[in-house]
Amino acid sequence: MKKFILLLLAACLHSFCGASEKVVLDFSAAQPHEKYQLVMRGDTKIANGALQVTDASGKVGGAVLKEIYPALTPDKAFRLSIEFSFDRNFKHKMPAMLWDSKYVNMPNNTPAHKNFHRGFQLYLAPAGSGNYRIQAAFGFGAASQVVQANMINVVPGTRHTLTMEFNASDRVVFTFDGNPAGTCILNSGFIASPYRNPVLGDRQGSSFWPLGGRIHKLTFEKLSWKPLQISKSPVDRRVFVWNEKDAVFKLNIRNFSGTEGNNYTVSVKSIMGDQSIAVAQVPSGQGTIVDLPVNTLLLPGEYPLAITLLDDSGKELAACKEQLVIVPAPGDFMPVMLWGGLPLQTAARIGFTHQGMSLVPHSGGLGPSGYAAYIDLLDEYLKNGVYTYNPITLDRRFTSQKRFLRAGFNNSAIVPASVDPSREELQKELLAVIADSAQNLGSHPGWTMALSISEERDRTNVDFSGRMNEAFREFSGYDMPAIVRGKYPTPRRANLVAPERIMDDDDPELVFYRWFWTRGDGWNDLHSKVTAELHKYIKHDFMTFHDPAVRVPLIWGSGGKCDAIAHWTYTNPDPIKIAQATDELLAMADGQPGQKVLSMTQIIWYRSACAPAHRKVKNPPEWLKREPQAVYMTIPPDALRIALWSKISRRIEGIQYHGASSLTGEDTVHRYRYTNSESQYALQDLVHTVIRPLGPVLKKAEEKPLEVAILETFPATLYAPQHFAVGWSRNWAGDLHLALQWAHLPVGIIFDDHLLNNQKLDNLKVLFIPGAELMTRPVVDKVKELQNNGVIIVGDEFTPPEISVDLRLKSIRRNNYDPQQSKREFQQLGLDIVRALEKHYRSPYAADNQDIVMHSRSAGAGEYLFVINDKRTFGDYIGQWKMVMEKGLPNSGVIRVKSSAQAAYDAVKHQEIAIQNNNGTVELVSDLPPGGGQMIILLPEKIQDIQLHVPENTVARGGAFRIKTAVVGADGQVIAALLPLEVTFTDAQGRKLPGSGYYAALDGTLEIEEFAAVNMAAGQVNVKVRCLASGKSADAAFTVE
Amino acid sequence: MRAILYALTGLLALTVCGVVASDNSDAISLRRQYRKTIADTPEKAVEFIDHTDPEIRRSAIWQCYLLKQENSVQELEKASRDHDFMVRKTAIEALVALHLKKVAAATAVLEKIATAEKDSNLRQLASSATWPFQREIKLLRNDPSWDYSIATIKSVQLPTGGWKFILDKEINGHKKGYYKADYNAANWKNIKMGWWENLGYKNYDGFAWYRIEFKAPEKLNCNAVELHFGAVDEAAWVWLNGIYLGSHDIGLAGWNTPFDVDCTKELKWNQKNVLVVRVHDAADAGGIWKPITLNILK
Repeated sequence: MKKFILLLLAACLHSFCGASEKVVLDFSAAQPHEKYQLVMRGDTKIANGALQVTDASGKVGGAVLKEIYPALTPDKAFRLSIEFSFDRNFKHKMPAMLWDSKYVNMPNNTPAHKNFHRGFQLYLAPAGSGNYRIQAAFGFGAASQVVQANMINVVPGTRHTLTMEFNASDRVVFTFDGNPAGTCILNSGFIASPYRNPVLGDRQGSSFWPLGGRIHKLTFEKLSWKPLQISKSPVDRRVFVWNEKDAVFKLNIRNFSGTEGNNYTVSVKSIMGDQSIAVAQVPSGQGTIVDLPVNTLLLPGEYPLAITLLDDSGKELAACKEQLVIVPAPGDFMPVMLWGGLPLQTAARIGFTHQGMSLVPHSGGLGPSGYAAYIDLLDEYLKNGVYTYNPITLDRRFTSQKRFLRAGFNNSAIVPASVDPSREELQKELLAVIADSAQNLGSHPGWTMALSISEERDRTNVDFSGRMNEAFREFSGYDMPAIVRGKYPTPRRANLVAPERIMDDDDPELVFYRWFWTRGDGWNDLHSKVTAELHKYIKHDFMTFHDPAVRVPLIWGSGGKCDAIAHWTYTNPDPIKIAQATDELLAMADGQPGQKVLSMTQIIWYRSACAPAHRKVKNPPEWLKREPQAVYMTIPPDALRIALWSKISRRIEGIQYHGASSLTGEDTVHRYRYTNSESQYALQDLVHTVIRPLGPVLKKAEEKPLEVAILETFPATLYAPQHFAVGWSRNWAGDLHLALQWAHLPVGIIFDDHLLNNQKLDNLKVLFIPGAELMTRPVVDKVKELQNNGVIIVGDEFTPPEISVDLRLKSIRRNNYDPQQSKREFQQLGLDIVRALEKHYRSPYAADNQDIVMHSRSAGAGEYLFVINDKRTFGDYIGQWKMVMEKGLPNSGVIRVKSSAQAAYDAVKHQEIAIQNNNGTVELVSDLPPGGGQMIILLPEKIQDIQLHVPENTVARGGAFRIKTAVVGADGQVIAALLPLEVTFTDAQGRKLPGSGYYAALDGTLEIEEFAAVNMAAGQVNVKVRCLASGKSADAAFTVE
Repeated sequence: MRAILYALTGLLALTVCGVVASDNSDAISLRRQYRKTIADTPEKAVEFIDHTDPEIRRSAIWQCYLLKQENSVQELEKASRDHDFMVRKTAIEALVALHLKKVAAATAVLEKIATAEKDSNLRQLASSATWPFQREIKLLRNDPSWDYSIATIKSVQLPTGGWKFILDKEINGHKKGYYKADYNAANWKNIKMGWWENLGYKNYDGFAWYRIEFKAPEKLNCNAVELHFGAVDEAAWVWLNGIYLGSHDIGLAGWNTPFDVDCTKELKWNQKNVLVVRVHDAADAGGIWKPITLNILK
């Protein structure tokens, strides 16, 4: 039997806040309100100072208002604030309803019943783990709209406050416990008055959505509202980049007056001066966008805008205040990307230039609310100097629906499920979502990168539905070989594949797998299409990338036509292994002209690989008390340092990191545990002292022609992957790379493709062929041809017997429980190799100890020698387990470089290094701190001076000017090398001006064309150019008026 | 020419196995000279099959095989006894290639090598030609596409007693079907884990078979199931329910080296399973002597 309680409501709590009127239902009082009466339904009651709606039986509940009170059912602007708590024992199967005056939450134009489009609902949809999505539905009379705001975490038993502010114009804004919880864009202005009486804590009828908790207080506040409104267009930005072309600040005029407005004027007062924009027509009931041109030659900063909408008589119809933000231009920099995200201030402090944002949803498009929210976020990022990349992922409906999945052999299910990326419908839907985001967000200068579908290819497989066979037959003229069962060949000994371990190039199985890993499995093509779709709409500098790109049998094509490819490396136990992974990426990128490489260090380390939980140690580290259950832990600081130097020694476009929680500990929920507080500061220091100032040079100095290469031959990576690194920088081929690094050999990696296309072979002197259990006939013939031309071929016990090697190695298997011994063995191997080669080949550089690792690049007359200190021992962070020597030690060594250079500079310390040049060999001493590195610039002569030319004539504010600078030797001639410069422009008050930053002087010269800011102080502009190699600088000044 | 090259080799005592040549000789020049010699006249390679440089000897024996095919068995057999690993390996590879071409003499030599060769890798290479079971052990932790932590969510130790056991002196147990799930092993002896020398088979070095039935636990949501062998002295070949899972044959060092085999697809959850292990002991004690565990991984 239903129980009705009639409440006599007491104290009237009408109040006014400015122009607003407030109604409060306070359930802590015996009677929440004297005027507005509630009737209890079901077991709902007022008890313990709250309205309790806790019946989970699915029967009717909640409290219904006795009448449709106008004060509680406003049609125009209002703010609804509800203080509530969830019961600890209540499990939400359905959304938790807070307020329902609408009955049905159908979207848009559902025609079921005209009365469905009246009133509104506010509810929380459960999303697991205590998370709820804020949702609301609005009835606008002829149509409804359902919106979703942020996900919030509701702690049962805790009192929370959810506020919804409806502006009766174009948006609804939510806050949760005082924090922004999302802004949603609405299609219409007024809420139609309800058809039924509003209900608190449950749905009006039909199936019930009990709150599962208590409402403590409910406040309705009527807000001021005008029939004409003007404000920033919610789906457009307020942040602009210095000297951005054609920038416009978009204003939105909304007219709810019921009549069309004519001959209006938008008047804007700002630092840009008074601007008036005529608006001929403002139709009733819709928004009109007005473009306010922005002068982006304002000094970076925030500028208020006072905006007024006037009618033709000059009467003010509406007004608003806005903020325009100009941020510095990015300049030339090396991206430091965080794969994931950190609080913005933290990311900016450490020096991350990019972090992730989900700008492309799985499906369906973000919609106006999503765009508005992300534009605000992109604005906020850009204000803090942080750019954004977005991961593009596949919707679960692609990965779970059978029609998009590949079929296993004999129509069995493939585990894990393998999506077929060549399905037209999948491509169409995915590309449509990408296009939608790119069209709506792609003009934002803060969005500069996109990650194309990470890791999904790990689940790629052969499709036995017939589709793949048909495609293969079209390619090859015959069916998929019967022996094919999956993405890798059926495991068998190499001599059962080909008795002499040399496969015919047209071996059908090989043809199939070559096709599968380049074209047939469809992923490379999809990455190309994703790239093309983004570039179609995004016209500023924008880079797509794919990772992990070398976790595949090694053949050109992985990542398709993405602008860059990337991979992540766990740098235990030897951090220089990241150079191996980077070399593998560089080899892969050679197949796609112009493709760049990004290299990622994993901040997380597997605990099992460095400090296994099951092994007890003496002197346990401090972190073990805090994080005894850690599965992933923080990379040691010295490993992070060495890995950074190791990867930037190669020519890459940017550096990346993953595992933010382990870096700063700010996300304590995640499995990535924060076990070392020093690592973030190690990264911060290196970013600010190395990557920022030297980034332009690091990106441009070129790899030298390859002299020593490791061939990772495709058939062997396919049939005998146990010998290869394939992205993991381990196994024999990976460790051989380390041995050659420790031996100071200028090692790189090549694939079969390089041999067959004569790439990187011109200067080749030594070719290592590790783990080559199978090779193809053309590759073997090419190896022999190289050998006949004088290239030294170094094989091992796996090399096909037909190849008569010049030197043969015996493979070494790493001992994962004794990294010290393994390092010793591989260093000894390196030494033995150098000795065996020395009568025929000598490395262009050498050091007197093997814990110094080097790599050299060049540009013009300059040579860029990277010197890395890999001297390590067991420390007290994880060294107790003896699985990783994580503690760096200081190191010093004599370095010799084959070079005619007469001068050397430490680009980090910005100072000259003493050298001796004896008959074409430069000798210098390198002193390195633990985990430290150097970029030594070798030049044909000493840097004597920095020349600087600035405008001789006065420059007008807002006008262009040009400076020229050159790095010259003793004879006054320019030193034609790539040199790092820091350029600083300051105004008369000492403020830094646009154009200041780090540059790379090509061939020793640099020309900068800049603009004088329109609002800068008139007077003298001081220009300082500092050579970051020598530390020498030049100063000059010119006048701006 | 032979004289010249032999004169050159007089300077050498080159060995490339171990790590690399590390004496004072110039192996690279020597080998270049050799290749130059046989470039236009490959048949001259035969003259180098006794060369002191092992790489030249190795290459020469391969050239000999290429030139003489089935008529090279005698040279190959001789080379299969060379002191140099790579020369022996090349000879065995050539013999395997001939065996695959149905050259009976090569098969016969391979069968001898399969029992006589001391190096387990080469023994495997020879025996693999006639051994009908082939499977590479693929473990979850070695899967290149698996970048997640792996936890053992359940571990079940198999019984240490209750095994069936039979010696295989003729090395033909596999031909008799000992590995099959439905093989009737009633006549086999009972044995428990431990060195067989201590369990009534003193001084036996050779092959033997173990067999046990065990009930697997109820199905769990997992990513892989593996059998972990604490130690088998010294080589093992493993079948579960009649399906070959792989081998552990790393030579004498294998006696105390744990190993794992994947049985994700072969295990019958909550049912009787038949595990069969063929063991080879080349010296000293032999047998399954440390526990076997069924590990369920996620």
